[in-house]
Amino acid sequence: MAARQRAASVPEDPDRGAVDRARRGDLDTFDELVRRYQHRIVNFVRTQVPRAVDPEDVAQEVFLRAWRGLKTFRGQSTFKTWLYQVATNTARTHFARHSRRQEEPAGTLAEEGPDSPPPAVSPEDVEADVIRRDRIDHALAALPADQREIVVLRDVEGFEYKEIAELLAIPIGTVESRLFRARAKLRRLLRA
Amino acid sequence: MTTNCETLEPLLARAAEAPDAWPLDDGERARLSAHLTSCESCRDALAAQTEVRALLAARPALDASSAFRVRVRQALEPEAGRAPSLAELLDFRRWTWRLVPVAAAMVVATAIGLATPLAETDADVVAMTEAAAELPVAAALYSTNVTDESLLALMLTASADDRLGAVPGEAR
Repeated sequence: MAARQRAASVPEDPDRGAVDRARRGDLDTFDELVRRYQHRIVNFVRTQVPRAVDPEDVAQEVFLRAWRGLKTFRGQSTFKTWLYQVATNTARTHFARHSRRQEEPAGTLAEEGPDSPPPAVSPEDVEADVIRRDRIDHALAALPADQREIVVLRDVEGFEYKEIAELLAIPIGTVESRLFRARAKLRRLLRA
Repeated sequence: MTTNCETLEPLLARAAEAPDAWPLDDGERARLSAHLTSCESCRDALAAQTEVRALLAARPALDASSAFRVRVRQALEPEAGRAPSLAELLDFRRWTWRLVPVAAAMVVATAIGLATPLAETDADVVAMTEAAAELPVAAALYSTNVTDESLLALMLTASADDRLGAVPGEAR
């Protein structure tokens, strides 16, 4: 009965077939999963690691960990949720590693905090999209990691509250509270 | 914001996601609506939540470069062809599930063995005794029914071809 209830609570996973084949060592199928999620993972990682860190380096590590960890993936969530869990953990590792090197307190990307100016934009970077994204990412970098993860997962990546709670292993109420505070702080930073 | 306002933060966060149709249940909607009529701070907070959500939703995405997928593939290929490391072999999660059928078979075999006595009827005992009688005399060395004197006599007088059943002195 409990198993049926658990099975019923997991949404239909469009990647299930590919994951089952990849789990058996089919690299071509895993390559297809990389194709499906590469842009999203690189984009997500960009919001979670310091600017000095190449997001594609971290994203490559995410997929490497996912390949190695496929055999332990039991399908109790969708593959997408599980992949983002791997991405979140990988980003945290890089964040902590970078913090130790910079000798900054953990939690914020302090070298890009609110007291430091926004990153210089070269004359070539005149595209409005780049400028707008950089401005937002600069503000995101000033948030505590737990708030930054949640606000990006909800407002940028479009995860449901329940998925975020599952991904981060926290109650839905905590997701809502941290989301509120993250947005409130971002508003102050973006208007500063 | 007052303590009462803080308790409404989750509702404000949700309401900001659909300003024209708050994704709240009836009770939550009524509670929030009533509070906003008298709390300017929360009205400002709701506006801030809505503004930031819209900004983030419109954030231009950063795409992976055209070379990204190739570099991931190149990094994975040595992984795909290699044998599992010692750490991976010792990872209980890899082999525990594969032992489940083995464990189940052992449980079944044990249950069958415990449920099946060695000899259930007198006929079985007689059959076993008759079979024992055909054993060579050397089998007496392994019998607990033979006294030391009988065993000595047996060894001194019987030949190797004699059967237990034909030799006097062997207790049945």
